Amino acid sequence: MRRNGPRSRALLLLVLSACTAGQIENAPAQPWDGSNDPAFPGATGLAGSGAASGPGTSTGSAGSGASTGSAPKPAAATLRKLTVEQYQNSVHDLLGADIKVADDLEPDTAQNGFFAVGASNATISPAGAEKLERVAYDVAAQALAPARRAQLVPCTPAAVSDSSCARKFVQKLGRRAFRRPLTDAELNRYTKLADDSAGALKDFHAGLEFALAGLLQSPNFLFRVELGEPDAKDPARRAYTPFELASRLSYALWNTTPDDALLDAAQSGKLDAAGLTTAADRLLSDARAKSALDNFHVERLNLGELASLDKDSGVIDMTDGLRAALRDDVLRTFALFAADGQDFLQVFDSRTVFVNAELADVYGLSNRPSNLTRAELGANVPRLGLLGKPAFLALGAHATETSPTLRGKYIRERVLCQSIPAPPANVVPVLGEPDPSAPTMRDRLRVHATDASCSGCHNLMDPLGLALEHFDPIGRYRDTDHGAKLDVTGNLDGEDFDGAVELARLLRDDPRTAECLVRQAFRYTLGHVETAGEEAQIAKLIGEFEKSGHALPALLRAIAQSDAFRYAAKETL
Amino acid sequence: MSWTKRRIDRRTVLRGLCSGAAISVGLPVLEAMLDTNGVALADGTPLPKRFGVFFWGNGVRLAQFVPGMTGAYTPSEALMPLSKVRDYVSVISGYDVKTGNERGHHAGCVGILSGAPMISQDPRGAPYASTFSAPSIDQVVAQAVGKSTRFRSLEVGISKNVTTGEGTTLRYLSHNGPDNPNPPEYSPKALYARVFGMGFTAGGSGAAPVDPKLALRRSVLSAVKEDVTSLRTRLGKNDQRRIDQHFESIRALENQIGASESMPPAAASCSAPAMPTDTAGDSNLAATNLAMSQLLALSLACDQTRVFSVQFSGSVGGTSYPELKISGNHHSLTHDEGGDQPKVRSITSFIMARFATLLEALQGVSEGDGNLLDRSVILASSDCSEGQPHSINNYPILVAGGGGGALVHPGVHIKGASSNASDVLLTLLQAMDLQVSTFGQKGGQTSRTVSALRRA
Repeated sequence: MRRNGPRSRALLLLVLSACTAGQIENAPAQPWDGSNDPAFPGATGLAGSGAASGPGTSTGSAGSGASTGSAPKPAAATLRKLTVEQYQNSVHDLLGADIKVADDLEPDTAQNGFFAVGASNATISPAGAEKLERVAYDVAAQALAPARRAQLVPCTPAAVSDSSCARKFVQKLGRRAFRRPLTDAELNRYTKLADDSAGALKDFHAGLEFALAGLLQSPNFLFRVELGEPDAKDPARRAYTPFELASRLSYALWNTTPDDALLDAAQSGKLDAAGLTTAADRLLSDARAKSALDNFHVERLNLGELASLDKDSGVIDMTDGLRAALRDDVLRTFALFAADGQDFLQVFDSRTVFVNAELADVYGLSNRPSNLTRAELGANVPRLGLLGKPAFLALGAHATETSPTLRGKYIRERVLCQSIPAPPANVVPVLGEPDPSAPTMRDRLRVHATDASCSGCHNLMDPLGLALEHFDPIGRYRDTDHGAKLDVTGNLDGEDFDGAVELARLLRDDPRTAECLVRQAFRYTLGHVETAGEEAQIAKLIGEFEKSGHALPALLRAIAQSDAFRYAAKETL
Repeated sequence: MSWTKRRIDRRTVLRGLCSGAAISVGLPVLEAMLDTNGVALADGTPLPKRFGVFFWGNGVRLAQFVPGMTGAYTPSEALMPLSKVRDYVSVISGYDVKTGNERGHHAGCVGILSGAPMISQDPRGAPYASTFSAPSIDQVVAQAVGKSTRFRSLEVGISKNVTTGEGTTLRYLSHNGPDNPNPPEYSPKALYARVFGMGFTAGGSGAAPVDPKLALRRSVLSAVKEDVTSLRTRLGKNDQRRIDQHFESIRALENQIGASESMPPAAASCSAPAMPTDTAGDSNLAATNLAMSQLLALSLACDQTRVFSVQFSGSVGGTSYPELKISGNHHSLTHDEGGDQPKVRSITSFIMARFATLLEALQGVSEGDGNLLDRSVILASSDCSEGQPHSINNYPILVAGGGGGALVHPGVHIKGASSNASDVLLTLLQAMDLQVSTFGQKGGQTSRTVSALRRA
């Protein structure tokens, strides 16, 4: 799997001698401790830092405490905070699709490329708790409005204070909210809230509002409490319980809380290995899986940043319509290749685009539909696939000019799953601004390529980004830059290319691209970067992904069936 | 004795219910609340001190920032915008962040805000991220002085152009600990609603409002805390730390509701402001900064909090400044602009003018025998010394405010000799009357203070 020819090794050695800090991180296809790879002298058991990052886990760029030899070992279970989107989806599924859920919630924080990973380390700040309280009461009031309360309240109260009816409500809503049946203590706790509030306000349903608002503020709702239990068959690990598996599967494939069918399957012991596969199939075949998959791409490609991207008005007017089109162009194209039996890597050499009028202008298309519409780029158009998408090109650019470094970094980090070491401190590189003697980015970035303290890392990024210089900060094609012709040739770790189309094809065929998709799906689904002890599973998943012809649903199914999905380390974090 | 727990009597205050419209009525000054000198409350408690942080990304150019003389100083090019409040501003140079420079911008930000090293979150083959290892200084102060106010602290952000893809360090200023940030508010309108909307009481004489829903909200939070406690027993150490924060956040919310249920003494300069219009963030940074500065000043005057932070721009911030008629963003310009970087310098001056706006807003609130700024301790700094080389030595630090008599006045330029920047942080904590003799961790640990910063 791993490209290890003599040229790429030589390049790596050259790069390493120039890099003053850190190392190129190329996720290998098999368990690796670095000690027997001559390309990484001095590596000491750099085997991934695993899950949560609190003090004592990963300080500095050398992961401490990593096992050499990396015997298979599951990662530790940890609380996972609901992301904003998961919170909204869950409330909709709990209370009704018509409920308006404010998006004024504490933002998600990305870590190592994913909100999903950040959520495994996140907590709730005081301001966050305030917002959650406000939203909880707001949706509770909406949900229990007289016109629609019958949907949620399974009984008619006999009086203002009807404890038994309140209890039925709490039990029913509580099971969906906590993603498991409530304990007796919890049932009593929230029923008492309903009773006391109903009494104080002389209104039964107002009492239910307070109980519901409480359920929605509980850590059992706000965090996915997936901690596992000691595995009877293997004392060295924990096994996630059926209810926890229901939650894991539902958030993985639908990005929302488990439905009654899934909870019932958990309740009746039907979520064993076979049951999990059946359930996964059910979820994957539903339309909700498609929109959940969008979220995976949004996270791994950082598409959320499109919502706040700044561009100078001289470059383009960043309207809401354009921002949405930029994102949906990527997502709708991706959706074309996301079914079973389809090779997802086609996203790299597809000529399909989805445009509204503004985006059509960026692409230079003559047809300018007012609503997002599919179109095909001509065979002569010098852009292809993801690398030709304005969303990608704009993310790798500043307000007034392109950034070959950012575009190259994006490819390394989000297409090839490689990490870029830290820039050295106390070095003063002067790039200079464009002037007649150095009109293009290639000219201005020359010092990156020639200065030894810069080149080690910048040679990983700049050559790739420079291939894309025919595309301006929003992704419009341009023949020249500041009047000068563009040299868009380069080399990707031993393979020459000339321009964006050739680079796109190289990336499609690069085995690291498929590997990276596997790792990203793993990180997104499991909420942590793969640990050394999980590398064997990663290798297996990569093999299965290749065998399936790079089918995304097959990958997700395989992850749901993997040990990493079903088991956790003996110790909790 | 807590200022807000005092009850005075008998004037009704109009308040809306939770689900109704928010009504709040500012009450006029009750000078009788102050003692005859006007410098303390009638019962002798001194008027409280306030603590703030103002932060901007990408450092400065030291040659244009550091005044040419020590002691009494003439403002440098970058500090000219602070001329009107010059007496309230001390400049620190020659102090280094000593917590290590593991990663440009990350290290400086964490080092100057917390006196502790950063935590790298750097697994192989994944994008880099980092976080704080210890609370930021605003939260250290909030821990000590934040319990008696409705809000433990208030965090605002001005430019939204922050780096969101590298963990909490670059994105957020205020931290309670690792992966435990206090996300700021970017909308003046939302900040207004939060502080002066439902739940706000200007204070004064009169019965505390009776709203049964407030008590019910508190019992809901009590029940939620029981869930937290019960869950905590099943968790490992790291998760316990996270759930402990959730617990604290719920407690803070209970505190807030409790504050709404009691009637604090009238704050002499407190009156609810008019609701601001939204100023569309980055398209008008000066207006956004002004609106936030005014809201913060009034929040402090009304004793809604005693601790605040302003993230004017983020670490590595890619903020653009079209109003300065320059193209390019701040971070890129620090690396790309040649010569002595006139564009970068104009941005620094612009940022210093925004800091001046904040200080002038505080100065404009009379309180007792002086003003809010007299009673404030404010730290202003950045994520590195100079953006171009990512250096963290000779750090650009400003200390503003009178500190309630604790800070030197008029301000001076103090030049260290490769001294520890944490010395400044420890000095500020002591100026806020925290009983601490050391601060910081590892290389950032110190028990020395900067005596020249203190008023003799």
